[in-house]
Amino acid sequence: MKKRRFIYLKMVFLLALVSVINVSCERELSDDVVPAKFPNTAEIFTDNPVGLTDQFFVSFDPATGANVDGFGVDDNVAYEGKSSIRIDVPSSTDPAGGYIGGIFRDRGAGRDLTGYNALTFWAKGSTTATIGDIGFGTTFGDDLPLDFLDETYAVSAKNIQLSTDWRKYIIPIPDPSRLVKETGLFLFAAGSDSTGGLGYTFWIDELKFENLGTIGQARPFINQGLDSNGAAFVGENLIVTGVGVTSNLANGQNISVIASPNYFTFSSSNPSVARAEGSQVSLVGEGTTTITAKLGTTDADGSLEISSIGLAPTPTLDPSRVISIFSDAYTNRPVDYFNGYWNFSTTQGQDDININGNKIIKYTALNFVGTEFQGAKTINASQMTHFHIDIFVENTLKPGDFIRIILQDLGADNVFGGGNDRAGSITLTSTSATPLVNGSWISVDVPFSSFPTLTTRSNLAQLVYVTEGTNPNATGSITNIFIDNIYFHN
Amino acid sequence: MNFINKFKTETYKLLYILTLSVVVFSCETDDTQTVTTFNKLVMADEFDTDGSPNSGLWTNWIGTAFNNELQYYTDRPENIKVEDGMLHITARKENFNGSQYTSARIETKGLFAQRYGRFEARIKLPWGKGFWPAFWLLGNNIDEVTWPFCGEIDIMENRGQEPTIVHGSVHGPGYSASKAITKTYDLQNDRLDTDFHVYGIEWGENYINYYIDDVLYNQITPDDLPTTPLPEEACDELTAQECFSLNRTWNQWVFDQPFYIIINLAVGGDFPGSPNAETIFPQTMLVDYVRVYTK
Repeated sequence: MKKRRFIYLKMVFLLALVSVINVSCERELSDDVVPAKFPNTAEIFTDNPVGLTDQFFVSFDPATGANVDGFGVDDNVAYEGKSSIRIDVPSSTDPAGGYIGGIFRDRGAGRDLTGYNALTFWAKGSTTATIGDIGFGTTFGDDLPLDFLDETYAVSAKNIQLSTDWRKYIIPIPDPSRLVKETGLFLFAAGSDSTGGLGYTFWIDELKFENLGTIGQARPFINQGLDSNGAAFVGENLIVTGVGVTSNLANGQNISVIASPNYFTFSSSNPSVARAEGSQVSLVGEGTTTITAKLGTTDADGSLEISSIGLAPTPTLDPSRVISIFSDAYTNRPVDYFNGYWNFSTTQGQDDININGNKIIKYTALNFVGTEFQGAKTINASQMTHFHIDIFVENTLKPGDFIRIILQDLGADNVFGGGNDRAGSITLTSTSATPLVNGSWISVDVPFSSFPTLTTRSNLAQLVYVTEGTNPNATGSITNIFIDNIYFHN
Repeated sequence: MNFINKFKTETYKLLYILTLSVVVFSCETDDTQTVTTFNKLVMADEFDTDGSPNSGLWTNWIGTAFNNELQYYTDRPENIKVEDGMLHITARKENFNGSQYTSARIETKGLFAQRYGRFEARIKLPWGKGFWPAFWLLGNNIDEVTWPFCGEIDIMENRGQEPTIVHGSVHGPGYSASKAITKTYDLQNDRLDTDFHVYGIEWGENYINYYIDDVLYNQITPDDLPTTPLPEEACDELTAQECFSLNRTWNQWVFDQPFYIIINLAVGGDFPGSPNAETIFPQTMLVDYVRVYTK
């Protein structure tokens, strides 16, 4: 973290003195009874930094590409008074760093901002660029441990549109009562995405906190304001994202800020299924629950309905009878991949769910996808009699839905082609011997005779799943499935 | 017909009003400013009885209205009811009798009208692009002389996309619709949709004073009336007798006769424009009371 120094010692000293007097007055009134209050200075920068030390700017880590050269004070440009903050946004290819950003930090105890409802400032740009991020509530610093990052009450507005004339910007505080001791007074991050990589300059003046009666109709939201649903496993921890507040300003415009979930109170409609601790949702039992939140007493828009599902049954066959491709109950044979992202496949995901050591494959946007174990080593299943797989279908089943499972053997030459490759498949539907169902695990355990055209199985190389779920020209709409416990056995 | 279509103020007129305000009120802008002087209550609806509005005082306007507004006014409880001590006028987005929105408008025509006095209501407004709430008066002789010859006094109008701005206007012959005499007031550090405000006029011989809460922001007198002569083509299809009468009333002060009260919540139309994707429905205009006083 590199800092920039600002030498306004007299100013700082004077303000420090005022603060001391204020604090001492209040202490007389509140001794023992009320927690000590912190200074409630509104201004952050007018012509000088206000109530801050000369090291108020802390840049983002240059290792992340932050350019520390572009921050300064401009004595020739001001919205009011004689100077403003000048930020020179570098070009995207600047060797000294392709973006600029950081925080304005109160290196003292912090400020009491409970009397304000917005961060406001005037800004103008050398061009009509958009600033990626502007906000407050984030603290880090060179005197703090490297990994220290306090975002407890972070707020930021995204993609602030600059004008080439001065304009006032207002960033509402979701719940000022939380900000009793805030040290992260300002945050910005600006790059050149909006200018095609060209650098530009913008100026900020009259940066302060205000209590504006003209901000109204605050509508908090979680999950981007959407009501969505999905499945997850008992034991998983989910984080509710897309948390913020949309407010209406005096000019009739809405402004949305992304806010720390710590401003909100989250709750789960069924605590025996999931517990909400902050925005972290821990799934503790099977069933369905809906996660909602409040900001103060206002219900947030958006919710998350979670179907909490148990793990597939743990296989019990003795390992000596099993050749396993994917199961935590056995030692698995090596595979090349669980998703080769083949041409024309829309399928996303692979073996990326891990519930307390139990790995699960999740496929989404499924049309077809393959697991390949040819490069690693083909599997000789000639001594095996059965194929086993556990499948969980997330989609509500519609007529025509199916999952086709194809096994591919390379034949005696152990290479693709050569005229001796053999493949066979089974097709699961809602009426097959082991029927597809929505919302719970099915265990498919079938003899190789169910794959009648798979006449050899000494050099098995591929396992392919086909649902055509994303293909509008085919029947079949299954797109989201979980898979576990893939093995051959006798 | 174009009842309330009064948004652009001629610039010179606005300047004139501003100047006038300074002259008239400059000695009253401190704490001692006298906003109201008519204190004898003669009519009040406190909206204390749940159900439909008091039919002895109010009638519902049913159907579409004017100014390219988009709503269909109904008397259904979904659009208008009295509950919890408030009149609720609710604008909804729904297809109804060929309109995309429903809302309500009530008026005291034929049931209450008064010449001069203090007319005020305590109202909390809706918000968002396209809402057009209004509290206003029309001359009781409207059916004889037609609008705008009957006169119109708009005590409160607002565009939902301007949550801090209230408009006070008069319309009459020669100064109606886009030539209405208007002044706007931008509420300081407050909004019209987050709490109740009192909107009122004090109206006497040759003056109408407009106020919101304790702020007097507009006075309109006959001196504000325009002097633009009647356009010649206005008489094109009139008899000489009719043209003579029209000329006699043109640019005249028509506010010396009884007026009746109207409260409505319009959606869309020429004044606020149509709602947009960010406009939230349904929304309710809440009226705590309507009171009328004389000296």
